[in-house]
Amino acid sequence: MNNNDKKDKELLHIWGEAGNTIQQQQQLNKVKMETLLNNTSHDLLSGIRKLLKADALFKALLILGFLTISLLNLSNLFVMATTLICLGIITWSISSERKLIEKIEDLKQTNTDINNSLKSQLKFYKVNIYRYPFMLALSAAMFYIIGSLFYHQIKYETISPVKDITDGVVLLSFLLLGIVISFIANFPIFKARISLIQHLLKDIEEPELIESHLKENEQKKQRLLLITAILIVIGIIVFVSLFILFIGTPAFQDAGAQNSILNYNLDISLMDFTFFIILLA
Amino acid sequence: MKKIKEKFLNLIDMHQGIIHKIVSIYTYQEEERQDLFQEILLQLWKSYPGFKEKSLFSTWMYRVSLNTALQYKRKIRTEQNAMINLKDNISNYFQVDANNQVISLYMAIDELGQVDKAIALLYLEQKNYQEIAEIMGMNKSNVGVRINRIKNKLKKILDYEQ
Repeated sequence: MNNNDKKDKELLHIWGEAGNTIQQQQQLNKVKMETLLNNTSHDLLSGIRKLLKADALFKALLILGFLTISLLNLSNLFVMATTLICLGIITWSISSERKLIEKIEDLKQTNTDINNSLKSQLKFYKVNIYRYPFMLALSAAMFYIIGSLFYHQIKYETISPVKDITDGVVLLSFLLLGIVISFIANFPIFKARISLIQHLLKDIEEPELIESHLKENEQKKQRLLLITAILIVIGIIVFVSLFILFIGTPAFQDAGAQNSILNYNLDISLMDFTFFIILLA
Repeated sequence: MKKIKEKFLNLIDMHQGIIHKIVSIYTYQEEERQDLFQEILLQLWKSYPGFKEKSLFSTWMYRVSLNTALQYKRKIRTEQNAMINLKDNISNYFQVDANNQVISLYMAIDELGQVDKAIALLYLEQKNYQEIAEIMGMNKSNVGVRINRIKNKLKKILDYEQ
């Protein structure tokens, strides 16, 4: 037996010794293991799944809120239009979240090797890096809108469109800022995980294979970014158009400044600010 | 459901040494060990419905457990006291003298990269190259090259420690 073989055997012997020690000292009984199974996983995918489910439930409550406000304002075209748009956005968002949750279920480690499992996870994170935080940010925005509508309903017993274009721009700015901040808060989670998995894959795979994966995902990311940007721009245009459309309505002109949805006296500013803080949280 | 859980726990009980060994090379603090053990157990339980019994249960366990350990978020160790703490932690874990060869081996393994740790463990568990390649999703020749590199590194560090 040469020196190399001796050292190999030595390594295996030391490992065997360590294994026996572990077996004797660390063995857990089945009762203890069953207790551990009742605990919560700290795994990122599990956390994301739970958050998406909670968010979908929250969005369902928002739907109830919008339906309630619309029932109280059946003849109010502004409220009905806002409700319709928001319900459309929420429904689409819930559907997207359901698909995300299904994708997470599919990622459960089953019979695939570590390399392929990591690749699947990388694909998931790269494809959904913008969708996931955007879905959460939408909830905050919808909450802000329904909160504002309810506030005006309760305080003024009616909801009127904006007084002028400045009010609309301010409302929209708060909404967009809230979306952006919420988005930024949730974005790093995916970014960090992508970085970790890429590093692991780089370690496992040949460098040129990693390059092609990264290029492919980079292109997908850019496509998704473009679609997201277009959707946001369309959303802004629709919202601003709605506000401009209702500025000149007789109903609004008769109602007067006090009943304006964005009468920026101190009370409304404080209320809008409060909703904005909740939205940020 | 209860029967499935019972069957699962019986299988885990027979092979729980695998989880402990993986935990022992990826974490060195007691809190992290318990946390990672629990996390691996939970991941195994979640993935169990998908275990089709086409491969050995132990092979499947290695796959899931190592995948979990590779992505486990460890606490960042500052370099200053890292080596001292590591030696103490391993010494306490195995309840052996600080000069014991087991500690030297574990400290040598600690110097390997995350993926190399997984390959080293599988090699030390006497899995053949084909099995290691199937678990890791690498080609067999790549496994051979890496194992030789890992063995040389471990032996070099162990010789230095001695």
